[in-house]
Amino acid sequence: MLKNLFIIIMLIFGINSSTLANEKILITINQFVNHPALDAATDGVKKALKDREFIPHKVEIKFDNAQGNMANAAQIAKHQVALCPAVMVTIATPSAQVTLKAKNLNSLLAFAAVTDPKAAGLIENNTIGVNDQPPISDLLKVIKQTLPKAKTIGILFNPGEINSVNMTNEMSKLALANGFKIEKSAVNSSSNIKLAIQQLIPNADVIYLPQDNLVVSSIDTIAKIALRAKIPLIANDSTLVEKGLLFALGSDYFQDGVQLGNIIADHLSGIKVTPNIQSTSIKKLKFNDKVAAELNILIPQKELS
Amino acid sequence: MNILQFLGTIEIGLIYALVAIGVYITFRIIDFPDLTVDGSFTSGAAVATVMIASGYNPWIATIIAIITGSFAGMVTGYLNVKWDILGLLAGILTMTALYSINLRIMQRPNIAIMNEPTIFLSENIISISFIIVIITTILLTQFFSSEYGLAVRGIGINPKVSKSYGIKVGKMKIIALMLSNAIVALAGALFAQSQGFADISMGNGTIIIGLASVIIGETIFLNPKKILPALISCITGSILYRIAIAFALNAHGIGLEVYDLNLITAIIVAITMILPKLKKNWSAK
Repeated sequence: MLKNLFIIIMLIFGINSSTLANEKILITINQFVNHPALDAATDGVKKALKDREFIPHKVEIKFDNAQGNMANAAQIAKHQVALCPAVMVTIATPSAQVTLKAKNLNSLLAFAAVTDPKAAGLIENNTIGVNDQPPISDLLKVIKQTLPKAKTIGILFNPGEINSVNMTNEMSKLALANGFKIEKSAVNSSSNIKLAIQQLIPNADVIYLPQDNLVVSSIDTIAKIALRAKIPLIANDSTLVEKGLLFALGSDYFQDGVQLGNIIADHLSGIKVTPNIQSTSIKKLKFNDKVAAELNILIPQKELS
Repeated sequence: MNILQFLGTIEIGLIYALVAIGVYITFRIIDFPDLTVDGSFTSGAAVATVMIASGYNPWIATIIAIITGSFAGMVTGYLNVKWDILGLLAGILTMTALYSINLRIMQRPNIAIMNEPTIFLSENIISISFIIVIITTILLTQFFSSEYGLAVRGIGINPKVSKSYGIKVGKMKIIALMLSNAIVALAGALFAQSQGFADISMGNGTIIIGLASVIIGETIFLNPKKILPALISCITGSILYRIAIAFALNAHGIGLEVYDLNLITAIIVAITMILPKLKKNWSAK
């Protein structure tokens, strides 16, 4: 038994598979879970670094994905810190939090796909980031313009996700102030999505999807059911439009990633970044013509900027 | 794997060793498939974080977290013993209810305590977790060697005979469940404090991690029957499970994708469990 343990310990230190010891600057990426928006953020960071010519010659990327498990996310953070990276990119709130706690003073924490960095405790000296403050009031204007008959906005959200709850609260507040009615449906597992959306359909004229990891992961199911019932879907994430939304206004996670990538590139080139936490600079309104035709909705020509 | 990665691995392994110990008490000692732990882990994290965020002493917060966990175990036990609800289902019911209760406790799904004082003073997470794991192991060994603890172990081995000896089987079952969930909640409280936040999804998959750790430990230590070796095997199993993941994280170089993490972990765990048996087969020939 002791011999077995000894062999295992020898194996652990014997196999040194991290071959990252070279001249390049190391950037780690810790993504919490896979879904289109978070993947887009990661791609955006890489794109910006490529455009600024940091990839592939000056920078080496180590990418890890916790596959939605918190203990894995924490372990990945520790694992990446041990490689002494210059910048630690984190995608989504939990990944940013575990990395902040694990990192040493030499590395810079960079985050994207975090809605409320202050509440998440991420405002520190050695952090940079792009927080997505979705333009919800502008979205309501587009609803009034495009769907003048809509009275009740349904919201499908997961009460267990901080980004989602923040956006749902914001939407409820603003919508009520604008004379809409709000119908919420909570969902906490992908197996309940169908039920939750069917519960919303009879009561809502339009359904709003917050930036919710669970909801976004099930976007195909949601779009199919809503479209069949002729209820338009809207969101603040334009990457989802092709999946069957009527329209989306807001930060594209890819653009958030690009913005973060550029901040990192500035930092690496020695340019001082101010402020160190930036809001999304781009608002984009994107319509889905196919869905509009199917729902007999006329797309207004005037684009919102 | 370099030494810093190894230390990070040990740190998380030690905290999850408590989960393994908790799972061992229900799954092995009283033979009760308890799924409450997914909820009680988060409860421990939630209670500790909320109390620390409101300015309570972190040690008091941790103790209240432990008590909360034991209540969760009590509910599962009560549902099973008093109302005869299948153990598996009783655990699922409590776990499901705890999701809402944890949200109530936290008021929102994610609370940060990045700069508040925790029981981990600064860089000493490993040493403090190690001491807590050791104390837990010693206390449990004492408990399960006492007359009371032996009665608890008896109901797992043979409930009918235990009953005929005058042991209150139901009561002992509830006590074991309370103990198990209290320890898991302690793990949750420690994890939240070491990471500086609590999140509602923190407990997802806890049961799987715990069970895998128990089984890995048992395989390496050849199914220990005594309580102290069994607890040590849980701790070792938990650390080995983390080491398997660390290997998987280092496996990118050889053409494996990031998304293979879970698969690689599963394969390494499977190999760990198969190897001792292979060796036994070979030496038998």
